[in-house]
Amino acid sequence: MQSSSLELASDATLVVAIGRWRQEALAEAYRRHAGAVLALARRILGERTLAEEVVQEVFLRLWYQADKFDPERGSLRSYLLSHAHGRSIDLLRSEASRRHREEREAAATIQDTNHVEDEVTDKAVAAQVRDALSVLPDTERRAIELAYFGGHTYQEVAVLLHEPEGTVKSRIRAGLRRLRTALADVVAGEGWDTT
Amino acid sequence: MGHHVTHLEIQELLGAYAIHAVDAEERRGVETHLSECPSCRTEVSEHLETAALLSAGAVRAPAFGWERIAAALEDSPPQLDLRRVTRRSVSLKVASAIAICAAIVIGFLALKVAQQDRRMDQMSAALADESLMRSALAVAAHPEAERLLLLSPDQTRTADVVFLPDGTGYIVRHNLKPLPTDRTYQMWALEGDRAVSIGVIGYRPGVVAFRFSGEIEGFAITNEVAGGVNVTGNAPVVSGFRKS
Repeated sequence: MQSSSLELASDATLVVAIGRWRQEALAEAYRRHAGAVLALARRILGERTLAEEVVQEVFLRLWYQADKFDPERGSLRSYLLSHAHGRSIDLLRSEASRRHREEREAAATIQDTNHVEDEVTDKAVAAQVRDALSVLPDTERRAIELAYFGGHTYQEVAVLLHEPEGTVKSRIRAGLRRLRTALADVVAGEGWDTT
Repeated sequence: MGHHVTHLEIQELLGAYAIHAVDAEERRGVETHLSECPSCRTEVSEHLETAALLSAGAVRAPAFGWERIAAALEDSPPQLDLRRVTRRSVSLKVASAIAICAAIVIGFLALKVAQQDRRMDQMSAALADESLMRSALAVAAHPEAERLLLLSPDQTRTADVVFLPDGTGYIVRHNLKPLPTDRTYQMWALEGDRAVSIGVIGYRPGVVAFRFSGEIEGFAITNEVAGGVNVTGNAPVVSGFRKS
């Protein structure tokens, strides 16, 4: 398969090529999906350095475990984002991350002009997420936000929201189902940018 | 999840599981159930796709991010010099082996036969494999890491090795055929005409951690009797040399 044809290849075909040690196939997968992976990791971790490490780990994992991706179980994008989300949550929950956050918060008053572009992009991403979640009732939206973006377990969300754990579990599940229906319509009708 | 978990209880957890909002014990319980329940697997896949939509919107991934990943890979496998690894030259003395290499190898063994233990063994192995994979990825991403692709003579069998100057290393990926249970793969560090045992890695290895010391020129993996050998007369299944 020529390099130029990789740009036209499906994600499943790319992963097969990655499994055959085709570095250019991994480069194409990176080109397609690294931006989304980085955006999610940045949103959860709140900083770029750790987020870039997550991106690196996710794509190295794809290189070394290409056989773990099953195209019949979902898209490559959701597969990569799931790994990125899990890793980001682990980092968020780690002691080192907690200390780093404390240090960062302590230094928050210092103006950092080098990340103005990041701030603008973050706001744009946040707006898209807000739009997506706006289809949900407040109770479901809050539960999913705290869990997905805040890195909290459903037990922790229950404490934060003063709700029973069973209620939170149900709201997360119902909210994801409602989002699936609502966002599927958006994707089909308005060309939602998932690339 | 100490009690027997019902299908209904698992279903209630699927949304939280898909967005990593369960604790480790619950995650293991869900994953055990998923291995046997197609409908729950389908639901989790749907939740993962939905979560991906939540992540819609991207920032431009920096070019140097790809450069760092590419630097952790090798462009092409090293040239294999078959003259350097032959039946005659692969020999070692036990005393030298102990003096030169620390044999710290973790491999994964076969699952237990008993049906009620098999699932837990699979989960334990998968979790341990995942833990080792994370450690291996951390090494692979290290700026001082080297990657070496070990190849069979016909280049159909491969083992991807990453290692650091301090002697920490991992076999992160391979397509070595499972051996009979009375056999084992054994890993060797290559120095000139000598091969020094790093240790046995099992008859069906997963991700393998190993350690070596001293300047090595390459690695080789042989097929030996269970328990390994001090001296091998077998040609390597796969081998590879560092670029000089």
